Amino acid sequence: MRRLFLKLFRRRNLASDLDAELAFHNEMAAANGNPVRLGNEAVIKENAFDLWRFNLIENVWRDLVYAVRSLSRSPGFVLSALLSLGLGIGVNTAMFSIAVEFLLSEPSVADAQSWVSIYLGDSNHAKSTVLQFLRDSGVFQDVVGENWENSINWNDGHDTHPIFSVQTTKNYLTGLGVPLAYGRPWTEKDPNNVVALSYRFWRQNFHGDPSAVGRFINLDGRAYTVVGILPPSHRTLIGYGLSPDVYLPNYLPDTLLEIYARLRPGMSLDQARTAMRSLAERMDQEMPNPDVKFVTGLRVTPLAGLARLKQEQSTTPIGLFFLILLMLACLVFLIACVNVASLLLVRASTRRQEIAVRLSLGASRVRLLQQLLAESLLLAVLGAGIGFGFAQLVAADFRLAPRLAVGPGVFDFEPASGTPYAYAARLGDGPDRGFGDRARHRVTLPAEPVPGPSHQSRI
Amino acid sequence: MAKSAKPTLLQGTLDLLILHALQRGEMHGYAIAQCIHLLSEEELRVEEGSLYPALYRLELDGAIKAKWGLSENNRKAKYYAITARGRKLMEQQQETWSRLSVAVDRVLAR
Repeated sequence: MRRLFLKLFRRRNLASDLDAELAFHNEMAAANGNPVRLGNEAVIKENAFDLWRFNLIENVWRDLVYAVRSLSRSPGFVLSALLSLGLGIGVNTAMFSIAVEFLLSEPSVADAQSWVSIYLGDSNHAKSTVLQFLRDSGVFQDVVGENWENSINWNDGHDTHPIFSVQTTKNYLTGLGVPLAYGRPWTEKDPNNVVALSYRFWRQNFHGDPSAVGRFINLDGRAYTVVGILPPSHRTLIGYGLSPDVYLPNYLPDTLLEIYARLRPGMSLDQARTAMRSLAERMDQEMPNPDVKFVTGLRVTPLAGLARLKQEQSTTPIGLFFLILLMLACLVFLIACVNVASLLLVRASTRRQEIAVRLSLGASRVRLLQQLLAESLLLAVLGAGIGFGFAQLVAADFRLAPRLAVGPGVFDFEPASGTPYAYAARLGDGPDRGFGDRARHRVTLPAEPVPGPSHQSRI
Repeated sequence: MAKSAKPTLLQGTLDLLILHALQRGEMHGYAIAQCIHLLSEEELRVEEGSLYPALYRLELDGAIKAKWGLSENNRKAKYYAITARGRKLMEQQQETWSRLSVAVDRVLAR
C-alpha cells in the first residue's frame, strides 16, 4: 500500500532526480580520481526506474507510443498494410455476416421454433380456402399465409413507383406475433386496405416520422391506412435477407399463399405430420384439387434455424455458394496476411541497425520483442477496425438495399418466363425475392385506379 | 507491478553494507560507495551499476529516506538517511550474514 502511494506520488521527478544524482556521482568520482566506476548509466536508470514504475502497463503504453511514432514515419508502409488487412478482414466479416443473415437469421415472430411450413400437393402454396380449412380443423394453434410474388404501385403524390409488397392473411401479424416499432398489428376486424410499412420504406419515404401511422398512402390507386411500422430488426419468414417494402392483408380470392402453421404447445413434428396426413386425406375428399392430390408430397418442415436448413432443398446450392464465397474471402485474407508479413519483413531488415544499436545500449531482447509486437498489434487493431467499418458498410447496405429490381420501365416489355434478365438485374441490387421456386416473375400493370384489388396479372 | 527483487546473497550483502554505512549519518550516493570502499580497506568495490538501483529499492521498501541537500562542495546532492525500519532490517541482515559467514568458515576450516 505504502509502495503504491510512493509510486504514485514520487514518480513525477524520478527521471530528473536520478539524472542529477548520477551526474553528481560522476562529478565527484572524476574529482577524486574515479575510484568507483558506475558503468552503463542507461541500464542503471532502467533498473532503478523499474522498481518505481507500474512496469507492465507503462511498458505497453510506451511501446504503443513508440509504435505510433515509428509507424507515422513510414505512412506508405502503414497505408498499404492497413489497406490489405482492412480489406482482408472486411471482406471476411462482410461475407460472414451476409452468410449468417442469409442462412441463419431467425424470422421476427414470437416463438419461431413452434412454426412449421406445410407442403400440400408438392407445394407450400395453397388457396386461402385451404388455409381456412386447416385453421378450422383445429390441429394447429394458428395458420397464416403470405404471398411474396407481388409488386404494387405506390403513388407518392408525384410519381408512381412499383414497390415490393407481401400479401398476407388477416391474422398474419397477430398470429405470428410480429413485433412492430410503431402502431398496431391489423386484425380480422380491420378492412382490407390497411398496410404495415417496413422500417426501410418508412425511413426513406416518411423520414422516420412516427406520425406516419394513421396516414393514408396510395397503393394501386386505392387509399390504404398505415397501421403499423416494422422495426429495423425485422426478418421475414422466408429469410435470405429479403426485405419487402410493405405488408398488406389484401389478396385475390385465388391467390396462392404460402402456408405457415404454429404447432400447439407440446405437439411434436411427427405428431403434426400424422395429423396433417389425415387432414390432407380429408381435404382430398371434401375439396378435391383437380391438378394434384393434397397428400402427394405432403411435408411439414420447421421454419426456423438449422432445422429448416436441413429440410429445404434450396439450401444445398446456397450453402455451397456461401462456402465458396467464404473460402474465397479467406484466400483474400491469406493473401493480405502474406502481403503484410512480407512488408514487415522488409521493414525489419531495414531496421537491423536500429535494433543492433538498442541491443548494444543494453535493451533486453524481450523488451525489443515486446516493442515489435506492439507495433504489429497496433497495425492489426487498426486493420481490424478498418475491416469492421468496411464490413458494416457492405453488410448494412446489403440488408437495407434489397428492393424490387424492376424499374418503372418494366411496364414497357414483357420479361421472358425464365427471367434471366431479372436475375441479372437483381444480382446488382442485392437479393430480393428471386430464390428457388419463388423466382416466378410478376409484374403489376399500370392499370387505371380500379376499385378492388383485381388488376394484377401474372406473366 | 514491479516488486523489488528478493535479495540474493550478494544483493543482501550490498543492502547490509549500505545500511551500515548510513548508520554514521546521512550521506549521498557517492559517499556511500566511498565509505564502503574505504571501510573495506579498498577491498570491496560497490558493484557497477548496482548502487543506485539498490538505493532506490531500499527507499521504496522504506528502509532509507532521501532528501535533497547541499554537498560539501556546495552542489545539490541527494542525501540518504536510515529509518527505524532500516535499522531493524539491518539487524536482521547482520544476523543472517554472521550466521552465514560463520557457517562458511566452519566448512572451510575442515
